[in-house]
Amino acid sequence: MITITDLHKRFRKTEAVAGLSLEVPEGQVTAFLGPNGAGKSTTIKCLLNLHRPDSGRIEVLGGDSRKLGPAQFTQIGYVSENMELPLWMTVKQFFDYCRPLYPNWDNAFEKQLLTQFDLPPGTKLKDLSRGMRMKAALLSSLAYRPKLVVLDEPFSGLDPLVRDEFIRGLLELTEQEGWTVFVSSHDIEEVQRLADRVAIINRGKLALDETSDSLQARFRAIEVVMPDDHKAPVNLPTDWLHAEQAGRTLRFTASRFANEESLAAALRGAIPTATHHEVRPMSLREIFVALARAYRLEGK
Amino acid sequence: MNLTLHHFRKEFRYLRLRWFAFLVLLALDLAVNLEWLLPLRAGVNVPGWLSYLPTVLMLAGMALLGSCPEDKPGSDRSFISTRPLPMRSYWLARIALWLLLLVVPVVLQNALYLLLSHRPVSEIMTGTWDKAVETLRVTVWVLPMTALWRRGEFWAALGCLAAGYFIADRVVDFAALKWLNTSLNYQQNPVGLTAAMLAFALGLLWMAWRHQAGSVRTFRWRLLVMLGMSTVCLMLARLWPWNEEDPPQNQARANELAPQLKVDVDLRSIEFSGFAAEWQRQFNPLIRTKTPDPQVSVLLRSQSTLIVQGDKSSHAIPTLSRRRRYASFQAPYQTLMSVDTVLRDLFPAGTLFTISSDRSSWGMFTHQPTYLCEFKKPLPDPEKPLRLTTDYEIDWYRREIALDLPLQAGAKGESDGTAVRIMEVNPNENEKGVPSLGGLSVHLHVSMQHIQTGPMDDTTLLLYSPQRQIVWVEPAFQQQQPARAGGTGWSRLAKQLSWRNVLNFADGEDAKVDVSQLRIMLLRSRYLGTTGWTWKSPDIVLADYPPRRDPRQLYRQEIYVGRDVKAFQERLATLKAPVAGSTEAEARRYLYDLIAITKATDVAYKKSALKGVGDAFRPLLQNHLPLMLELPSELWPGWSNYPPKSLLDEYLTEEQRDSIIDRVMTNTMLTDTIIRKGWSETARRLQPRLLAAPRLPYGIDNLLLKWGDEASLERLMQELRCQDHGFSHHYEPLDKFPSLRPRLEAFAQEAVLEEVPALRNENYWVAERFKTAAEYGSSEALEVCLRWMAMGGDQPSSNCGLPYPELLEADGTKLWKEKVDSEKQWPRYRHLRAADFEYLPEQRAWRLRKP
Repeated sequence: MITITDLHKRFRKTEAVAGLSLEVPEGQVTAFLGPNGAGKSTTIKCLLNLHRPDSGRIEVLGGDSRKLGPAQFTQIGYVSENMELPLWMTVKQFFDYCRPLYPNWDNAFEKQLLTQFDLPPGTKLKDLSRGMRMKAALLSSLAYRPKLVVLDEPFSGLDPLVRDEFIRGLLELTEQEGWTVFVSSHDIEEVQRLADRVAIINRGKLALDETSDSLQARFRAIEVVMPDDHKAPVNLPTDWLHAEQAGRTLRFTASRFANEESLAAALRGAIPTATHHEVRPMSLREIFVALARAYRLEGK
Repeated sequence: MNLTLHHFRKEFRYLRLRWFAFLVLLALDLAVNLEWLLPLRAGVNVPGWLSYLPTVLMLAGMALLGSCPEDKPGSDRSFISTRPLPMRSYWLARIALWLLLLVVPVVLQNALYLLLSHRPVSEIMTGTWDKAVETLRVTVWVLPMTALWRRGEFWAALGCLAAGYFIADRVVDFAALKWLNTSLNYQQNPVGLTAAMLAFALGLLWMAWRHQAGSVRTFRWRLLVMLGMSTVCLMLARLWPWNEEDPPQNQARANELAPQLKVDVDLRSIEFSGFAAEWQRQFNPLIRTKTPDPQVSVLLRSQSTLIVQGDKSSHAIPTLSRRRRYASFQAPYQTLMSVDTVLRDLFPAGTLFTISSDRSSWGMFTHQPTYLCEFKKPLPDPEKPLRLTTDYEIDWYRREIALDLPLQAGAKGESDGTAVRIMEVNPNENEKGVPSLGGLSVHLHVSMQHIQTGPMDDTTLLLYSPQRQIVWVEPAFQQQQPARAGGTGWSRLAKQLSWRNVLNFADGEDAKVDVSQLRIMLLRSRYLGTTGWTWKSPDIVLADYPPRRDPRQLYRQEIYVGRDVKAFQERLATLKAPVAGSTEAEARRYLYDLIAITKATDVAYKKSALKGVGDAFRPLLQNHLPLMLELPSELWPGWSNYPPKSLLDEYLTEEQRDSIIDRVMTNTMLTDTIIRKGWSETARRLQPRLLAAPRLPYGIDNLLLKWGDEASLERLMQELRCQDHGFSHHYEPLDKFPSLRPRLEAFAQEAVLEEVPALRNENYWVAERFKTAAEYGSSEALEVCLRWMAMGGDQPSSNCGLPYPELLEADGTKLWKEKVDSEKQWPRYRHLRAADFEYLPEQRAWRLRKP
């Protein structure tokens, strides 16, 4: 659905995107993660032809992103955290304006979404809360059943309750409609329930691109107990991230976990004095934090 | 189309309240322009805020176009940028908004204003069309501008644009003045302005398109590019094609008159003093022109001159400021050659012209040298003949009295796009409403059709008193309120004018003027068109045109004013006078120092110092005479009969006679020595050369006068003409020859024909010519002189000249008493007429018939 190949985009001295290549498969929700300033929004703006890439190529819906026009935008829904909406309009006026722009606008679906999102039709957008405004924007981008939904930090600044409602609504719809969703966020917690795949961008480059399942399968939190006064060796395997010793316990994240046996063998080789160890599965958020810390250390 | 309408509806819904406010502003503007609100009244100043109304309207229009920030395609945050609204629909909707919400209401308001101002249909059509073009031109760039910038950026960019325009405008002016040597006209050429605005709009559109197409640039980058474009467009507008003129009003008439134009390039008026100084490289002869239509005058602009000397030739191209025509020359008060005689001839003969203001913009010159060319290096040889071929452009102007109204409240008239109504006349009051004996204050309501030219640009108001036969060409005070309805095709303003000493003389004496007899006149100057003309000179030897200036005036210094003699003596005491045995170098050094001292003071012209000066020069004359004879005329200090010049006679012997005579052509100071020594007959061998010379060197006239033969006198008469009829003291020596009297009389009266009797600053030569004409028997000139002298106390400044012809009492004593205050004598002339005098030809004086 989206193919990004060696994308470069520079703003004066800052290289926002530096050779990013990424594939967003059809029918899946891809979470596009990265810390603030990693290049997420720039990548999205490039793929929506809001910014022109310096080099590289982006294919969206099978065509060059630079040629995106009204015909393609009828199949793309885009919601961004800082999108300027016509705040002077009521919710109804806003949808009334959007409706004729899309030949395949589904009125029934619109009503369904209106009910589902609990949006008050007669209220002006400027009088809505931020979350409700985002819902209105989302509704206006979904009511025509787009093939591709691009969300740029849609949950930013939303309170947990609204965010939860928003995510639940989106989750239901994506499952129901089978849309391809490309959602960016700087916090995996926001999207971990949604994401089929996770792509992490760091300093303009792709750091990771994997399905959530595979990611969760290969990351484990490990705790190793050692005899008194024993120090962990300095040269631990490189796939053991953030090794920290507190008293007799050494904690680290194993990033290439395959199974218990191979881990136990590796432990025996690396820390022969270990008395016993515990293995715990990690949430996507924990994995993301571990990776983010690792990237930060790499950067230093 | 549906989407266009759909988007238009959405934007209109957003703008409707603002648009309504805009319409209210337009209605307010209409009411103010029509004077339904705050009518223009005599002595009532309009509130200051009124002048901001057009600016507020303009900003309101921009605010309309700059609205709907969420719809700006130039913003990567705008909601519309990822919606399937075709750009064609977006732009069509924006253009429809621009036209229907902004342009159409403004144009309709203008048409309504003209209709309610009772303008003829043709003017309504023209004014409406002009307004439509102007509105489109002024606002077209705002459309792409709004697409380029985000919410707050738009106004920030607009502010930067205004500031950038202001700075670039000053820079362009400065650059034009510095490198093109010309000042640019602020009257923008509509075509140039339209081209510049369109170019700017297209540039912005390009930027908006690029921005929209994803080539997003930073705010600073876009701002710099926009400012760069605006500067280029500003230059285009200001320099389009030099923005020089409004179109000719009657080119066909100019073409018709051109073959009958008489142009006399008077080479004898040229004065050449060598190429040493930059200013001496200009060649500015007096050019007299005579057009077949007495109301039409011309102005010559040299475009290029081909200079050919021997086998060398070069082109002299004048600076742009000389070549181009300035639209402002159309203003009636601009100085134009011979043009003031046109003004004079619009009134009965003998009418006096006066200017109440001492800072007048009126030139009132009749003759001024006209620029021909400037010699550049390599300079031509001044001793060898050269030929000039100059291409001129000739601008034709016609002056006419467009309106002639009695000075009464309610009097009104309209002429060709200018209407004047007198609102109030206040005799014996000044501009502040304070009683002022003899003064006059008038409030006018003026409406004008032409909006591009400034108010009263091609017209001016004159006050005429037929009873006093005086025209006040400029009031002592004038003030006008800001024009209303500017840019509509019929602008209005209130104007207050005041004059002094109209009803009474300055000393309070009643001038016997009936206010209702006064006339207020609208003088118009029309630019008819421009034609071409080429002048080819005969052979000119520059050295044959020596300057006719008294050398004393060239070198006079005033650093020792008041203590010349003492300073001279002190400095002389430091010098060592040469003796017979001194070397030439010593003598030369002494001479150099001596001249430096005498030239630095006025001592050589003071009787008290004559002995000292004589004594100082005597050692040189005694022992180093050849050195003194080499000294050029202009370096000899003092009058011809004062030492050291008079001392020369003592040391010259018969042996040196021929050598002295040979030197006189280049050292004219020796003329008087030759006469005093009785060598003038021997010097007659110079006569053929002098008779053939185009200009006589300064000071050599006395030799021709001494010979006194017919040919010499004829040559002197020619020279008198070369000096533009000269001053009265030029007539004196010639008047001693009775045979010349009839010609001198004719000369004196001919001189007056080319003059305007104007009471203005530094008009000495005009007064002098009327005086001379009166002294040569012209009763008309005497009449003018008497009325002129009667106004001695009313002159605008002390720098004005008065004509004092020789007038005698019935008993033969002088009428003008030397020891009586002028102020006491001038009133007497108010009661004298030329008919009260009889002419005494032998004395060249007028004597009162009765005591």
